[in-house]
Amino acid sequence: MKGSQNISPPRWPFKLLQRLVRESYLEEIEGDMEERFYDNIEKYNIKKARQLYVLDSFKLLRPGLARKLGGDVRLNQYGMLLNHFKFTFRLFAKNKFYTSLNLTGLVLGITCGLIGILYLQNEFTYDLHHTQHEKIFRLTNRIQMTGFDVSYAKTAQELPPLIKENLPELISYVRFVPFDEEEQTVTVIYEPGEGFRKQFYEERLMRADSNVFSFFTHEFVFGDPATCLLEPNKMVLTESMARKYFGNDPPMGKLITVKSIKEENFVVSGVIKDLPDNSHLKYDFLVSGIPSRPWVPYAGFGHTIWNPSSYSYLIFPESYDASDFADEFRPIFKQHFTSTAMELGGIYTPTLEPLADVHFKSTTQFDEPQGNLSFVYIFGCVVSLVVLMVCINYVNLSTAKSLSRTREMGVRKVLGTTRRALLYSVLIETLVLVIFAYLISLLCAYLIIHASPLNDLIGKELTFNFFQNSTLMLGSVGVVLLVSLLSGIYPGLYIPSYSTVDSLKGNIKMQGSSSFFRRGLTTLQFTISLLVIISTVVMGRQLKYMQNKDLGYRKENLLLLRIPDKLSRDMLQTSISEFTQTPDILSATYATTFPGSGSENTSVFKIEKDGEYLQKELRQNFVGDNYLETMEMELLEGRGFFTDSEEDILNSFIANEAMIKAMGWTDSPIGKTVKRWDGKKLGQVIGVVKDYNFYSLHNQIDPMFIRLYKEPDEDESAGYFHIRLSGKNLSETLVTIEEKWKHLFDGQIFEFEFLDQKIDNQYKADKRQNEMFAVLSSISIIIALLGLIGLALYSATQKTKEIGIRKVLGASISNILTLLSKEYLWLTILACVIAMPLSYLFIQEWLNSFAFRTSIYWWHFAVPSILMLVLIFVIVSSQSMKVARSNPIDSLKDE
Amino acid sequence: MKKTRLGEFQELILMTVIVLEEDAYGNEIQRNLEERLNERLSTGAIQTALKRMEEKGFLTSEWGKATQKRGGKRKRIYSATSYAHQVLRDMKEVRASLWEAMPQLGTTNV
Repeated sequence: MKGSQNISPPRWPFKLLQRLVRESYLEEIEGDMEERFYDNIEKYNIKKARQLYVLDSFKLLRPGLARKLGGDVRLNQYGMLLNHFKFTFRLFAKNKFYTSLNLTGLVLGITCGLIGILYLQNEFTYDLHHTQHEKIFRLTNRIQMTGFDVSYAKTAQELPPLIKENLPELISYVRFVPFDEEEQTVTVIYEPGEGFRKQFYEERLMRADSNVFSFFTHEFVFGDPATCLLEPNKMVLTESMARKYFGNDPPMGKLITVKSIKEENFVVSGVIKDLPDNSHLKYDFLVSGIPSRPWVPYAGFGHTIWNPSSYSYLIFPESYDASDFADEFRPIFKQHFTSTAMELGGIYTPTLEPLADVHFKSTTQFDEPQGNLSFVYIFGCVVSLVVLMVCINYVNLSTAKSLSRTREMGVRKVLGTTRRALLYSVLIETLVLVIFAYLISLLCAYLIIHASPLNDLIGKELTFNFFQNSTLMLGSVGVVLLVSLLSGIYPGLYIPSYSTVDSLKGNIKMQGSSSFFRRGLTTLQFTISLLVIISTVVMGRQLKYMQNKDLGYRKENLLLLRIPDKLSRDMLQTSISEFTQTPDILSATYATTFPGSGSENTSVFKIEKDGEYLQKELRQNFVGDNYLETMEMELLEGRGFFTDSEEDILNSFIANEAMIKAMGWTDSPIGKTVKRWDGKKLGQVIGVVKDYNFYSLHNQIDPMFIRLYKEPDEDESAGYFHIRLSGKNLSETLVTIEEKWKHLFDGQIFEFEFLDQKIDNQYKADKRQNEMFAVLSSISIIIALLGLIGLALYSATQKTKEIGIRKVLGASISNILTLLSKEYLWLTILACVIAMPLSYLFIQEWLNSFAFRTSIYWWHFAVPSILMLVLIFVIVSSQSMKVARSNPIDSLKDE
Repeated sequence: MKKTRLGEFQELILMTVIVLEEDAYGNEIQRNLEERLNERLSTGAIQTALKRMEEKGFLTSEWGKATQKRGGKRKRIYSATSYAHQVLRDMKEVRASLWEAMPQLGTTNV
């Protein structure tokens, strides 16, 4: 039956099919479908027939019937696309020189970009490997008293349990306490049997709460995260430490002795994977059990609760609002802090830092090394600028080269290519080259990261695991697309813009606007390179300045030896006189800390001024006899210590110049009384030394006391022998010292260090920044010069005829070289003018982090600029030389 | 028969084409087969199989007549190539030899 006229199958499914089904099948299928539709109406009803029609239409969407990509209709474009690729390869083969210039630049730039991505990724993912990092907050605090204002990364270890009692929301807390409060370095000993003993100094050993692994994510190689630290005297160590001490033996159950002021034994109960390099808190060993401290007033700080001892982490539910914490802390303050606060005028401000923010945003002092956010940004900017320079090279070279392609473009246009197709063709050229460069760069980046000292240079442990690192994959694809677009879009719009007729006639010369654009880009390139170079130079000056600055003592030829045990004064004296018998040892002494150790031995004192007492928090160093002489420090006023005087040993202080300024003393400082924080009289000032840089040159010189070393008491560290060497016969002297050491302290580790190295270590980060800048500046200059080589050669060949005529008319080679290089020299001068003030601003900012700065002179800017100018002149003339020397007959004969 | 294999469904369609002779166009094949198999088939499945076999050289096709019921669109009449006949015969022989080699179902245990 043929229903009424208006019954017809629904149209929309077929519209869909029309787009998706191959055209040659369409009529047949459409017919079949329609016929079937009417059959179905007879068989069932209209509604059901419609449903079946729609259903069947969708079932038609299958690969066997679908249009092919670029199928029948768009055949034309598809072919064109292939044609573009073919053209691209021919073009590269034809212009091998320019292609390799471009390729080298691109590889350099993209490699830089890839490594830059890895570096930034490392910096910005600190502590994110802890899966619960959103719940974990580090508890830090700021303590203010009269003459005293310090933010500590550590808090009193007693505080987290108190907060837990008072704050029901708190899920839990984890504390990390350094093994010894005074000592950063401990001795770790593994002695399985008589005659076999492995011992090393270790710095990354902490005591931790047993629940640490329920909140901090660590992968276990051996042991059970939940129970490994539950019992006392258990130890968890990292895989590489297990290897260091036990070799290939199974580590579990081994006995380890840790020695410092106290000595304790531990049983290994777990082994974890090494910590990722981007963790702010670094440890190699965790041991169980945090010993409680006496709940009494504590030297220098009042009540124990004020005295920081542990890195404390509080775990809150995810919904917790950290800004409530200040209010919630108030009752705790009232209960436990008020007594000391009243006594010393103290203010205590606790702060919660989200775990992921600790690396960059923490403002505490005495912390693990922190990230330098502004340097990371600067680094990111410079890397992007380098990538930008590569794009500029590409744009410059391809627009310049486009002159020789005008005929090709003209013919293409006459044959009916649209401008859009030409744009695509240029973009595809770019994309192909960039992808090729990208593949090479992947290899380069891999090699640089895994087979070059880059990681040492930047102090990171970057790995190039491309397929596991989705940020790197996406980021690098982003870089490729960005570079292709930035490089391709201008040439793509510009090259096809010549008028067809002119281009066929060969009537095109460099257009004003394009060479203006190109000049601008070249200037920008030179400016960027100069900026980076000048900064590198001044950074280098500052490092050199710090190396050579008179620190107030002589850092060279001073040997430091760790005093192995608590020694009595007498024993120390015996050792010193033993050492000084060696001919090349000029003098020797000892002290609890040395300059550049970063150690912070501070106490709160009350010091006399005009009959009153000012409260001050001051650093102090306990030293042995001859300290001033051995260090070669200069005494300005008063006297040094009388070492055999009991009075001096207990009661005498030597101050530095900064103390006079800080106290505002107008009369002689000699004889001023010094009292302890609680008012007990300690002694008086007997002398003043010239200011000396005990801490890094980033810091101002703070007031400081030098005191004589007493008999060692319970909680003071042993310190270091300071031995002044003559600088001659170094190796023999060291052998002699080692022999004496064996004789004096048999079985103790003999490990020596030089003071100048220790001091240099403080500037590791600065040196690193300088070295990274040095690398970037060489790369940027190479890229700029690559571009310049191409441009110079090209403009010289463009002017072959002009040069020929000039030579016929009597121009000399030097005339012609000047003519060709003049333009670039002007551009360089312009770049210098722009770069100098910019680099001055930048470098001032960088120098601001130093309290002691090198002065900046005009020649720090002038010398790099002049060198750049010379370099550019040399490059341009060497490229132009060939043209300038050619016989004019050759260039003119074809007309 | 070595290289090009016929799927079971394709084989059914191919035989239907041969059976229908002059009438072998998409819809007729579908109807016929639906009747024999007693299940609904989709046009997509039939068409894919037809196109696939045409590509492989089992079928050829030419335009047939248009009818009003088809909205004026022409049919496409399929016919099997001699190669297809050959392949079908080969397959039948293989089946027959397999049937012969099979132990008689049900007889051994009675």
